Amino acid sequence: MSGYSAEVKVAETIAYKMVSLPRRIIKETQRLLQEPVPGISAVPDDSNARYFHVIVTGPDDSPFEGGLFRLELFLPEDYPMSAPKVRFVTKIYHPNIDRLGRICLDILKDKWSPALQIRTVLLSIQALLSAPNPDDPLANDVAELWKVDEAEAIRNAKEWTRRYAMDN
Amino acid sequence: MSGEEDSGMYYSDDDCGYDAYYNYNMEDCDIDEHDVKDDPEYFSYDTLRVEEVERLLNESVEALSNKLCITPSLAKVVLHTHEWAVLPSAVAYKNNDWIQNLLNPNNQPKMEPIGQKLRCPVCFSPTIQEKFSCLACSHKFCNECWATHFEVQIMQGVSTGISCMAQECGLLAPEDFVLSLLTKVPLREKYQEFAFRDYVKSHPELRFCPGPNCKLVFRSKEPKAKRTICEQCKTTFCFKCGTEYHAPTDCPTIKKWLTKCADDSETANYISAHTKDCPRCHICIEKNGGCNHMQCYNCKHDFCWMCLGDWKSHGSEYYECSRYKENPNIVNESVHAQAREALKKYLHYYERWENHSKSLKLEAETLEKIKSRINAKVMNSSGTWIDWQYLVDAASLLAKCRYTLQYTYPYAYYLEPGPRKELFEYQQAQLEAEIENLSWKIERAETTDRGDLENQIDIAEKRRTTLLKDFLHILFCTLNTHKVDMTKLLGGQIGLEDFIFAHRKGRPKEIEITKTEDSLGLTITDNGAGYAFIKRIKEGSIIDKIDYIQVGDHLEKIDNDSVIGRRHFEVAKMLKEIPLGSTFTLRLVEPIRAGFGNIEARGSQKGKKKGYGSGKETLRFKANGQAQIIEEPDKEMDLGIENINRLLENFMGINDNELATQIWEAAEGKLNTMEFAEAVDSSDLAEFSFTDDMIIELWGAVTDARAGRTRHPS
Repeated sequence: MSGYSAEVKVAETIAYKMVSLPRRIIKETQRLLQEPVPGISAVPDDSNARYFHVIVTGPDDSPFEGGLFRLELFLPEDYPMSAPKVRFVTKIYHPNIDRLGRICLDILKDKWSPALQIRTVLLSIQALLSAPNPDDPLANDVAELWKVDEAEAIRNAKEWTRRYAMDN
Repeated sequence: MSGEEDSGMYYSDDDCGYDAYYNYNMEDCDIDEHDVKDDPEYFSYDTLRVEEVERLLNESVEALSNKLCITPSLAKVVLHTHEWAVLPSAVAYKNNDWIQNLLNPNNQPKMEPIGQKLRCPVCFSPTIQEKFSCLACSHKFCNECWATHFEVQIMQGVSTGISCMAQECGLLAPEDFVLSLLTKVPLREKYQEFAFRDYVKSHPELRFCPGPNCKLVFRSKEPKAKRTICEQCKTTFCFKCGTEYHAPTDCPTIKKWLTKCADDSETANYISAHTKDCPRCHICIEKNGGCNHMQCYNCKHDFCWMCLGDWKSHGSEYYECSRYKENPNIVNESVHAQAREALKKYLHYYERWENHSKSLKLEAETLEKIKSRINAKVMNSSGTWIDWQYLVDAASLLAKCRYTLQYTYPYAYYLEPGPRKELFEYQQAQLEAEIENLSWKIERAETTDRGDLENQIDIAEKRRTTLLKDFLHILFCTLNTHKVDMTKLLGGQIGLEDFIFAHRKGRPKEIEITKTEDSLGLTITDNGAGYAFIKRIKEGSIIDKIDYIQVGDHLEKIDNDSVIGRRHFEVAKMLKEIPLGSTFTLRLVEPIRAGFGNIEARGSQKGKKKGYGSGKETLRFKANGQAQIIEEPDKEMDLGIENINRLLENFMGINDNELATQIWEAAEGKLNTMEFAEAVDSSDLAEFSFTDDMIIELWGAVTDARAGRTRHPS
């Protein structure tokens, strides 16, 4: 009996959350699921529709090729007036992404516009993997190596991709 | 010494020359022009209330909106982004370079039509066309989204910075647009409050009072790092950076220093304890007054709280306790030792900074004590309020001086070692010595003579203004000559016998020169502290033909490159490398010229100034160190002194104007030898025990002079 009541409660919570969700988020979620972007999957969490489990495929011809990178994306209360919070969960060797997976990307900060969407944000992140920018670094040691010895840095990035972003 | 002269003399021994008449005719050189602008701390500013600030801003807004025929709101946006200067704002608006991506067709968000309605690109809700709004960029969004956008921005403290919602569109939303869509009253108020704050902050002439809850705004047409005092909350601050007033240290330096202190203060606090042991009897002493001249209550030993040295060595020229002695061999030491040395250096300055700050607080308590003591005295009818006012004046001046002294330490800490630092620390030491003297006298005010105290007040304040003035205006110093003689440039050590003459900055000048010959004919020197000067100009050279360039000019810039901090050979090389035939600009600063360049004909004076005397008076320094204005010596007197002197030489083998004058004065108003002899005997001339014969001869000399005769000793 107790198990049943708990199940009902969860279902109610989700329903309540769905109801209170702005049309904008519902529409975006629907579109993400119906017409997914190639190489990107974003699925809302079962218990929180503002939380997305994201998987980005490493772009071809980049040191991250063949890797599957897991990210988390959270839409804050005042989304889309404020930018979504995005973070890499899979370890990655990249000058603009630090150890904690935080991403240095202008549209996630001061260049955010309410006209941007989850889809555009994730596309930008994928583009960042293809074109690292060591002149605007977040991970200093990585950026330094990227500038001094790009070949070595790319080797490291490939090694990390193989070690952390493959086989699961 | 007049502030308008080119050179002030710093390093003077006061023990010479008192026996001479110092004959300056006050009307001719017009000394002591009490010009407020000569006060190094003079600063002119206005105090404005919110309404007055709004009026001021609105004047600019109106001017621009009339000029360009745009709405006042839009004018405000343009002015705000161009430091409230009307003309540049107008130009920028016309050129359209005040906004980026005004109409970027690629960034136009999709407007999907749904029946009669349009889908808002932000909330995705179908909305009727009338409920859409846009800025000049035509990026349309529904009114509800605009309002939410504004709310979110305002909650984050953004007001004037609110821009269009479209991606990569930086177009700023004017006030009227925001207020027409924002409905929530508390947020509208917040928006207006924040916008006003932004306007004042972006206006180069305006500053908010940094005092807590103070709403006043200050305005100065020339914003400088000068002392500003709020008339309402009494907060004193630097106009430029808004922190506590910090002369002679500049804004970036004080910021660096305060940050450093915030980081390191714990260690420093630990090291500088609040108590010290008496250096002689080792009894533990707690400092309970501001004065650093300590007297041990146990053994009566006088010592300096700062260095624990004997106080005797602090009264003289050699007061060095404020000076940090750099270890010259440090370069060769290990990293560890260097770090320790760096900490030691920092602690030296920090302790003094902190100590003066503590002294200031303690002296504030002393002032309170003085006030209550004065109160008690007046109530007991020993003197009136005005009689004791000098003590309050002394205490407040002490606070002012000590405040400046405190802020000399960060400046000294960051000064590069060199002659400039030496000179600064010398002056700092002088100021410090006088301040401690003053503090000592104030703490013992009841036993200190009033004249003595007032004298001390004067000395301390003079030292303070000298220090402030000099370090704001000195261009270079010469040793033992007041002339602009670059071979005598102060660059190395100062000897004890040396006199330093400081040359103050004159006008800057920019001169365009075409290099028509390989050599410009310049010889460059520097003062070892990053300032290059013209040492010599070769006759007939390019430079020689330009009258404006003279020996002693400081080279500041070549074209747009600053040469400050470069050595003389580097500057010379830069000049040499300028290709033949090309034109370049030299920016020079000349010293204020010496001599009679600053005086003008009497006739041009606006009326006769009162208090400057008849021009027939002279200042006489007496043997006891006092000075007095007396009648100009007339012919009769000159002759008398000459006669007396001749006698003195004949009888005693001395020639002494001072003595002769004294004798002449003793004879003044005397009618016969007897009266004269009595006058001599009752003065300190009695010590000479002149013989009767001598007295008679002297009287003869006096009477001869009175009759206009020259007397030759018989």
